[in-house]
Amino acid sequence: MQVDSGTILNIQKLSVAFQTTSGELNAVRGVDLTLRRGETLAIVGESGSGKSVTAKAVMGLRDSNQIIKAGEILYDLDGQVTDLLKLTKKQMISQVNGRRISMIFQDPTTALNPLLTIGYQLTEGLRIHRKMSRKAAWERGVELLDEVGITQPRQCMKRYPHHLSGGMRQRVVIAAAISCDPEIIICDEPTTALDVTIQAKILELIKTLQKKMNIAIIYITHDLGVVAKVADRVAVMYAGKIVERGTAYEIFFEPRHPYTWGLLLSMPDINAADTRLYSIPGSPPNLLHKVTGDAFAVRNEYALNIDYEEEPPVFKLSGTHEVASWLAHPDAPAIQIPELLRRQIEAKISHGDEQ
Amino acid sequence: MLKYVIKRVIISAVTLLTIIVVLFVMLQFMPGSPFNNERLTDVQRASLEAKYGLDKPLWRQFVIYVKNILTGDFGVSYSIQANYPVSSLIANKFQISIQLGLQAGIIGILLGVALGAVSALFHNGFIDSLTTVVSMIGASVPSQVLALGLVYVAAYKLGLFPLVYKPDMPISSTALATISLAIFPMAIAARFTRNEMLEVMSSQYITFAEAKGVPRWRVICIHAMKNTLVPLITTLSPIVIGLMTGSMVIENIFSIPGIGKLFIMGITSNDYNVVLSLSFIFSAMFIGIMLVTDLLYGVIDPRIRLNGGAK
Amino acid sequence: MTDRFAFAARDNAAADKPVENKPRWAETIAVFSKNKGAVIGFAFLLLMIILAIAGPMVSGYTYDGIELSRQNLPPRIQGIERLGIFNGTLGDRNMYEAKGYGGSYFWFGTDKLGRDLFTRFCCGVRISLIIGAISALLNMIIGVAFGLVSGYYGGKPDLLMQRFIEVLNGIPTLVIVSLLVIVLKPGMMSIIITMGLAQWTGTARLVRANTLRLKETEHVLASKTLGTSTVKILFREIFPNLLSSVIVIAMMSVPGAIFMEAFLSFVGLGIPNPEASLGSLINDGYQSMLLYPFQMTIPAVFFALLMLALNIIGDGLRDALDPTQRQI
Repeated sequence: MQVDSGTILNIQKLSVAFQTTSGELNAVRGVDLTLRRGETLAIVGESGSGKSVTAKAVMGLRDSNQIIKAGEILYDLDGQVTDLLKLTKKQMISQVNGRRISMIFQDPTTALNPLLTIGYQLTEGLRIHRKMSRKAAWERGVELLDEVGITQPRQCMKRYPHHLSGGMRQRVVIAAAISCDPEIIICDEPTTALDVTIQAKILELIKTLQKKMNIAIIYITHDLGVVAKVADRVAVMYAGKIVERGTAYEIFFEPRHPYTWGLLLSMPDINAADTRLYSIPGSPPNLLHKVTGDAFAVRNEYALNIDYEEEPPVFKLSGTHEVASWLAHPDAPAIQIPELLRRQIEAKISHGDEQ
Repeated sequence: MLKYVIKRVIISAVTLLTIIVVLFVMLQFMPGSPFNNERLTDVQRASLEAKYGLDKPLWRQFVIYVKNILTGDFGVSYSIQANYPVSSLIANKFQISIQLGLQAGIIGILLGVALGAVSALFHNGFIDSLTTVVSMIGASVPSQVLALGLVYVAAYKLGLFPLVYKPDMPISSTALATISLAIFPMAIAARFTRNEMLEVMSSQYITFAEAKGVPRWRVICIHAMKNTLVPLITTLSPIVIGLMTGSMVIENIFSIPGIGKLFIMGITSNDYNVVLSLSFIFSAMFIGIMLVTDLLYGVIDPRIRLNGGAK
Repeated sequence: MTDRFAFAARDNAAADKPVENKPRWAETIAVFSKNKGAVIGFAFLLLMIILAIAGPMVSGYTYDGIELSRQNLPPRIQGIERLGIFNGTLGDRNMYEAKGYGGSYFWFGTDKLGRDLFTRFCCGVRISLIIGAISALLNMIIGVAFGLVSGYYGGKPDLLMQRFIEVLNGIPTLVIVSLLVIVLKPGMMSIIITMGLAQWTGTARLVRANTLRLKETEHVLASKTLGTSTVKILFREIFPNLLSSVIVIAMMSVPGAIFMEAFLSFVGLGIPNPEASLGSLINDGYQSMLLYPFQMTIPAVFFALLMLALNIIGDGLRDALDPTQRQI
């Protein structure tokens, strides 16, 4: 794959493992992803599917027992396509982190240092990357807080994190993330720890800022509700692999992988006639063991014999839609989307509840 | 913040008062007071009784006792230096103990923090294992054993240092004592710093700082160090107690004429007035140090400062 | 060949299998025994316990048998003496033959009164361990009772009890301990009582904090709603959930008590002669350290090892039972 003009980040065959006391845990097993300028890509999956590890690899935020087994992360660094994995941590921190790629964390209560003021933490990036003076950075910090919708930004600068509510803290984190005009922001479950009412506001804020500053965003989430609200394209991850990817429309209305079906079915739906919520049976595989065939086979009620023998290749369904499932093979028995899900989708379309 | 200060001060005062009550009660039971001394003339006895108000009711006696103790009048020694004021006895032994304690405490804590920080930053490396072992031993081996070992090897066998304290060579003759006394605070500080730092370094705000592109030295010096060192204050209480306990043992072994040695002499020679007075001084010092650190903690940690609240 | 594209049989499908649930104690033992240091420490502790029980029986001497003709004999152990160590010589002289005890073996030597130091050592270990164990138990009982009441009832009593603990904490342990032992007269009982009284505040704080948390949990609320009596709630619902952290903190207080006893011995408030504790043995040995270093070295080394073992066991137990206590 080439880095074309629209693509700013290109992850190729990324494999990440963790060295644990009970062996090597293969958390990410060959992930390909591309991100285009200004778009929103959502990576969806259960906990432990490797979505966070993938995102953190982009930032060079590695745990000490983490090993990059293979792959490259190509990024256009000052006109030169660079493999971020080849940069040292020092280079990452001075050239990439905060400056070109920022991150928003899941839990705003723990993402801010309790002993440093909001102002200090907010302006730190400006002072380091933009070499701003303390005073100029402070003024810019006030503007940023205003921009993310904090009333009385001047007072807020002098406060400590525990004074602020969760939603406000997340706004501060967002302000810090955008402070140096990054090209990419990685949002790791940015709303999971927040109240439902605030969730929507934070998503809205990120969306507005994204449009204004033309930032590409990677959303890491397990919440399909969030995905539906924000994503242009979606990648579904399972057990360290991307099992299906496509535009948001394709994933929500024409899903092909049984795992995606399961995820969609387990989403609460106001229109659903059935009051019981579906849940995918079983639990994700233990990635300490070698996975033969399709990792999802044991939980898949449509599993084929071949799923236990050979890993499914990626089948291209359209220009944008890909699925890694043997069910897409021409020889596989034709199966329909589960009846329940089909009805849900139809209901959504007829309600005009579109994305 | 003011509420917090007031609360701490009141609790400290109550603690001090409790100790005085305990000491007063014990004084009533302790045998061998000079008041029972056969050789006292009636005049002397009368003046003593007048001074301590022994003819007055108990509560009056207590008030007098409190007044005396707070003005530094601890009465007289029974046997170490009979009828010599305890306060004078203590006064000329105070300085050397404080000096020893401060030397050992500061050296120990600084070394401990450095060791702990280094071993946390190079987690599972050589220094980390070394620190773990050293701090385990430091917390396990009693100071008398350590001191005796040092005396035996460094002073007796190798002759590097004088065996006992010599006032004319205050540095080299307290060196071994300082080392043996410093091991305990070092062990505690190293262990605490290491664990705290490991926890801090794996916390989300450190990741966030890295994601912002903050250079590593800055992450460590500004983000991690502050968060590690503030709770280090909580280890001060066991450290101070360790230093006090250790000072008694070590002053005795190295024959350093300090208050620790005096305390032991008081016990062995049944000079209870000395023991009780020193108990008061130890407690008062401890309470004072704890009060100051609690207040300092409040100043440094905004969570306490502004919530005026308990930990 | 089976049709690779046929649906697979669903019998091997993963329904929600119940996670294999080992009993709590089995899991604790499994975690603990993975910790090599803790296992070695535990083995050493066992050895010391065996010595404490059986040592005096096999030595053939008594701990208080004074025999001035054999005073200050150096250690001599059968078999090992041929290697040139523990052969009963001091300088170049075989002290055993010089004093007419050619056929005797005192494994750890004798003291200045001619008492067998091995027997005294075993008795010393016994007393030190008893002091450690019983004071830990006392600490646990007082701490749990205080903490449970304070945490469960809350309100005014809690406030008062908390202030009480704060005041008590403000007094240095060393002062409480020395004064109490002076009043109670030195001896094993008074040392145990003193230790129990001096150490419980930490336990009480831990128990209170946990009780505050636990009393709001669903299972306690459910019991309350069903009208279970307070005593039953405290001991059936709350106490079992506290047990592991209490065990850990009690275990961690054992070395502290033994340590304090050694200190008291040094100060002259320890176990009175002729009985012995590890602390008093070290202190006795210290008096003649320069002439007969073995009299101090042996108990000191074992004391340090015992403390190390107990600390490591405490750490291991904490990691296995209650990892949240790491800070303590």
